[in-house]
Amino acid sequence: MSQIFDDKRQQEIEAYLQKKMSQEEVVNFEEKLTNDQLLQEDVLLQESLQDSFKEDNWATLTNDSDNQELQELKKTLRSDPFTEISETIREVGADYEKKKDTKDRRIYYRMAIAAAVLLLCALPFFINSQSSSVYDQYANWETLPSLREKGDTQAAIIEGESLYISQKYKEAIRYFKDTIDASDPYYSYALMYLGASYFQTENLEKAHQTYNTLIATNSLQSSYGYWYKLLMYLKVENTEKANEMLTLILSNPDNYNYTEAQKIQAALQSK
Amino acid sequence: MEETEKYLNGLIHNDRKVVASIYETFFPKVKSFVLDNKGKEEDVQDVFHDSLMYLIVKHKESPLKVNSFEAYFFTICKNIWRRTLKSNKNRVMNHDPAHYVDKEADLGLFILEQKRLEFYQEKFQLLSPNCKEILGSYFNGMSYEDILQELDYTSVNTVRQRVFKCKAKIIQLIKEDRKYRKLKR
Repeated sequence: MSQIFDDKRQQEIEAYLQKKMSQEEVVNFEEKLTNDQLLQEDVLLQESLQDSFKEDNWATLTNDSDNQELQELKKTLRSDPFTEISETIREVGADYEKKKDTKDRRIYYRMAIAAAVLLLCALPFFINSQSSSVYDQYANWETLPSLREKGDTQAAIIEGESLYISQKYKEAIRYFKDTIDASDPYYSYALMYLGASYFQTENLEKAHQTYNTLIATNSLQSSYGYWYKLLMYLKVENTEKANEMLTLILSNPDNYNYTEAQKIQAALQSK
Repeated sequence: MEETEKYLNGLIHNDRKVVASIYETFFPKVKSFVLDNKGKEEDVQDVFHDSLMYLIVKHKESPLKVNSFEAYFFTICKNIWRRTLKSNKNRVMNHDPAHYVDKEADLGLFILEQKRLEFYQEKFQLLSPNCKEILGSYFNGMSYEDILQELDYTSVNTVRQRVFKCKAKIIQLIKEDRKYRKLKR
């Protein structure tokens, strides 16, 4: 393999891309970049590789007027046949939303009536549930995000999901460990199920480790890790650690189950 | 396969009924994905529209060979949304709220970026299972320390060496391919 991959050069590229260089080092490295085309090419390639494979990132190209292929594509997209198709899609989309809105409203009224009836019947249950623990109220291990429900039957984790649903937790653990790797597009989902399977087999240490990995993926699903760790701390009544998780969840309204976390925090404070 | 052809041919022939049937079947899933991943209602229509346009351009260029329309279409929607999030992030970082949007340029760039991604994925598949595992973790932002724990290596240095070697391998595979020169970087 060429000298390009010698350790020092690799370490420099990595430190540069991960912004781990001092101001002075950046200046020196960028000077090197302007004089070394091969190094420039390597940095760009590694950057685009990294961004391409990271689930919550994307490797973009620049809108360059010298890019002939891009100019051709723009011309195609602006041509009559394509603008006509584009308009059809927009119109059908608007019709779909309109129809859906009317349907939703009808369903809403029916549900509102049904809910009122249910509320009257279920009042005794609600009174009882006030005395159950916070954990019992919020634990949702049975309803992990389902790719099957989302209709993605192509995803490799479907089989693991089925094992988990049929409570074959040990088989689920084996399946996820053997078949899913970090390059799988649904790696984060697999980690959710793997962690939950460890939890169900009472291997809490492994469950925590798995959710730490999920958090470290820094993907769109990372915050699920905080939630499941929170549940485990609530289960063992470790309020201090549970509060730490709550702080993390509540640091960003986009985090999974943000509203539920607010309620849990209020419930813990009122105890 | 039959269904895939029905959808793709309907799309390139501007068949309203086919477009409506695609909306009925796939819109809810795409909507829940975008909303679950920091998106708003108004973003969903754009993602859906651009993904369909992507399929049309590609299928007109040369007939697409995909086993499952649903899986392929969803992957494209997901990648268009990844791109949107990245562009929004760049705009905030560059303090550029009144960004001028050239829709055709955006879609054109996405088409080229997706092509490059598929090329990288093809090369990634040629790596050893061990390289795929360790590079997958590394590219997804795991630190050397986390990889050490997760994959049972003996030291951080071993992990680092392995990552470097696997990275070198994929770069070599990419550069050896003639297509690499044609892909704009």
